[in-house]
Amino acid sequence: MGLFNTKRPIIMIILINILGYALLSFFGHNYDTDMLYVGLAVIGMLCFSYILTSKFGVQDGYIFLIVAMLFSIGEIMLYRIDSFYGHRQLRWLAVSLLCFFVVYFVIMKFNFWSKIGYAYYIFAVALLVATIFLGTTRGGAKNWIFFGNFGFQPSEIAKLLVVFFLADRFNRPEKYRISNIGEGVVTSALVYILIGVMLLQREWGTSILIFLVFISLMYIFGEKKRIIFGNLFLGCVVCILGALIVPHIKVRIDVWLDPWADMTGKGYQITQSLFAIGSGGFFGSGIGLGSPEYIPEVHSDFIFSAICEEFGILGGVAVIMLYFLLVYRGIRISMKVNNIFYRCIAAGVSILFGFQTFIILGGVIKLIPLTGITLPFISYGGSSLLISFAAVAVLEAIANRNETVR
Amino acid sequence: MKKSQLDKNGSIYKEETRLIVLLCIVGLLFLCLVGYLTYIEVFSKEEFINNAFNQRQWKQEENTLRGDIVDRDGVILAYSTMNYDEKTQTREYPYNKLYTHLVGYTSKIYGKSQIELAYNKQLAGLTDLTGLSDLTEQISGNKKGDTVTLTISNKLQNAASKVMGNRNGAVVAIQPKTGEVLCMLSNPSFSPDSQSLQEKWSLLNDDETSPFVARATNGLYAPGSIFKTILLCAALDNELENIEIDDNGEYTVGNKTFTNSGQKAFGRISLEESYAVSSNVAFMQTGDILGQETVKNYMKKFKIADKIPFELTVAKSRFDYDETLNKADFAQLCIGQGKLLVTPFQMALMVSGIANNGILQKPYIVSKVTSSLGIAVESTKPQIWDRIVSASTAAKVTEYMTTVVDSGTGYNAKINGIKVAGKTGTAENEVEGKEHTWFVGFAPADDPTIAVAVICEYSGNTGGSDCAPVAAQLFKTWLNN
Repeated sequence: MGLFNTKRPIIMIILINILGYALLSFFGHNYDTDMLYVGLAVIGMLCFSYILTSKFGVQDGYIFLIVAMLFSIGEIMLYRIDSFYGHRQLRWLAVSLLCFFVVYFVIMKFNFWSKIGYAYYIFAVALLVATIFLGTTRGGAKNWIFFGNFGFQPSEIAKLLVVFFLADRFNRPEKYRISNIGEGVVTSALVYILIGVMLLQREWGTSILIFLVFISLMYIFGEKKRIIFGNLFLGCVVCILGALIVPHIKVRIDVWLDPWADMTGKGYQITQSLFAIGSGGFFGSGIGLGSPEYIPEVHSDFIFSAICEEFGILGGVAVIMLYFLLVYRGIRISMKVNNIFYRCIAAGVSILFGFQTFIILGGVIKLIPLTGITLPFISYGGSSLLISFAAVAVLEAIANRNETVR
Repeated sequence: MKKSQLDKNGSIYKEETRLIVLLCIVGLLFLCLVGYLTYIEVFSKEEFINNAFNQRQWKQEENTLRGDIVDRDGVILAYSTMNYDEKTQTREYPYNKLYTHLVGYTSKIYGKSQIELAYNKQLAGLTDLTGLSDLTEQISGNKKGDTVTLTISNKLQNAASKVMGNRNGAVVAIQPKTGEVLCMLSNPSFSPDSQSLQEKWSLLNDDETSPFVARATNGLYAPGSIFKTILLCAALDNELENIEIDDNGEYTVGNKTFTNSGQKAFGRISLEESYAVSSNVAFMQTGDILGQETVKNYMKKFKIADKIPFELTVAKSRFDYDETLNKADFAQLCIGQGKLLVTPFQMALMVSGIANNGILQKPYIVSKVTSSLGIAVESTKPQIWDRIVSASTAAKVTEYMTTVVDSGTGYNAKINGIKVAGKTGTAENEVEGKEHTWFVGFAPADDPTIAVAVICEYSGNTGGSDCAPVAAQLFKTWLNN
């Protein structure tokens, strides 16, 4: 049976969860049986879903395993930081797994996906515009929509929709020509309108992310060189202007250049993050033995610093390698698919994961200026987890669409 | 048809190549992340861990009872008490102000200083932050930091403080054969406990007498006549022992005229006599014979303005070797005035080198660090720093310095039954008629076990009347031990 097949090491995921939750049950010197039940629940949900993927004949079983491992590491860390976040994330896991299968089957069974390009775009822009009017401000960015207690970030969904929209543009370029204006210019204009709306909500990170994915897809699918370079030039100009004019961005760059100048103020978060990473050393303090709670927002943007402190830099490197494997499997699917629409989506989703990981990890270790975006599968947050699982479902579904496999 | 198929395949292969290029780019970016993490671990880690804003330190420090600081006989100079209910600890300094400039203070608000700072890692038990090595202590519960044993003698420190009274200045005593620092007093001082620091910090900051300056190690003063000792060494090595100097009470360079203190004129005197009476005119003439280069060489031999290897920070004495002094400035230098500033610590090293037959020992103040289980973690062995003068010259200088105490300006340093060597000094400063006064010396002259440097700020008297009695008291206390 698939569960203990050594070729696909689900056993590793079971093991890390057993170890993690056993250690957490001793955390704080009081024996906490709740943690063991949590551990069982996580293992149960992940294993059950994994068996289902095997049953449904999901082609690339590795992707689900990589993602399950990333989630496990993140969830153990969340429970260690605060069981409040852990419990909520556990509920989100259930919803996300359900979403995974729904998206998987919906993509598999229907064929109209490659025919509604503009719909993705309009939906994405509509969501973002709605956020401007209905949104709530959290952490300096007005990028949340609340339905009662349930809040989500529309920019998360928009990311995925943009990839679908771009896939349609490369699949049916003729649909994106307006009289004698080429498809390259029209798409660029549309993407900039969307990024513009996003910038209004101070979503610097996601804006840069979408821009990078846009440039990458243009490169892969053979856009004219002058369009690509024109866009790159424009992007650089906007970045430089932003750095010079917008005070928010200026502050972030100053803090990046010298966080030590204002350790108690603006540089507090990043310096606390660096203290955590430095204190962990290569092997980490061990789970529960570090002090990641000193870092503000450690459960969302800065969870990687907590991982580095308690699992060591080697643990952090392992996480980075898992993301690389994820990108690799995604690109591999993209290369196997004949249909340009699906090939573009697979490439776009993989690159999205790659750049998103780099932007947030580079930010928390002070390699690049910090922009607040989530670390897929690991950071606390329902909409991020849900969309990440949906994206993976899209990848799996593309790998399985029989007619497209070469 | 065939051609278009080929085109399509061709473009697909191109796309595949570009997909791989992009995968490589992502790989490269991730490699940058790994590289930067490794860089942090290898190069910046120490700095991050020891940053004063890293609260991990405080947390670990709070869980560990801070170690004791004790003197050479085991007298406790600093200890901590744990309040177990609130999980806080209090640092107690039984001798209050006496050791502030030596033991230092430890405060959450104002940080740490001196030994408390230099040995913080050991005192706080922070030797490893990964938490694996101290598993035994975690199991057994109570954890205590290491004990730091100093070479300081509490008796000597108390004696120095008593005789200095409320005068501002510094006293440094060194065991010349080993380099152990026996006493290091800086006046004025302040109470080191957290509560008084909090109450008086701003007051102390505004105080004109600068109580935050640890004068023994960081006070910079003109050495005055005690600097003649270095010139004496140069003169003896250059066969000027038997010169006769005509001291008519005046030494003129260009339009400047220098005189002896008290406008005296000593007539024809030998080198030994001119040192005993501290004739400025004679030493300016001797310096002129020796030349600027030779004098600077001897200053270098005595490590003037070198970085001093020591557990606590010692200010570098100030002197610019590269600047060629004009005649007037050089004449001033020969009597320890003008372009030279030294720390009392440096002057104590100068005499301790002479006392130890010309061999200067590396100074040290921490003799050992012991873990709470009684295991010695670190210990310091006496180490030779450098030979500064030949043994014969050192012996000669000792002889001359004995004369200074027996029948010269340093007679107040005399004690019954023991031969004392010494030299007095007066250093002009910005306040006319309120000179700093010095005394350096060692005892017993034939087999020295203690070398001292004493300075009294703005005393307006002479080194003989102000500082020599302080030294005498130190010698008595130490040698009666």
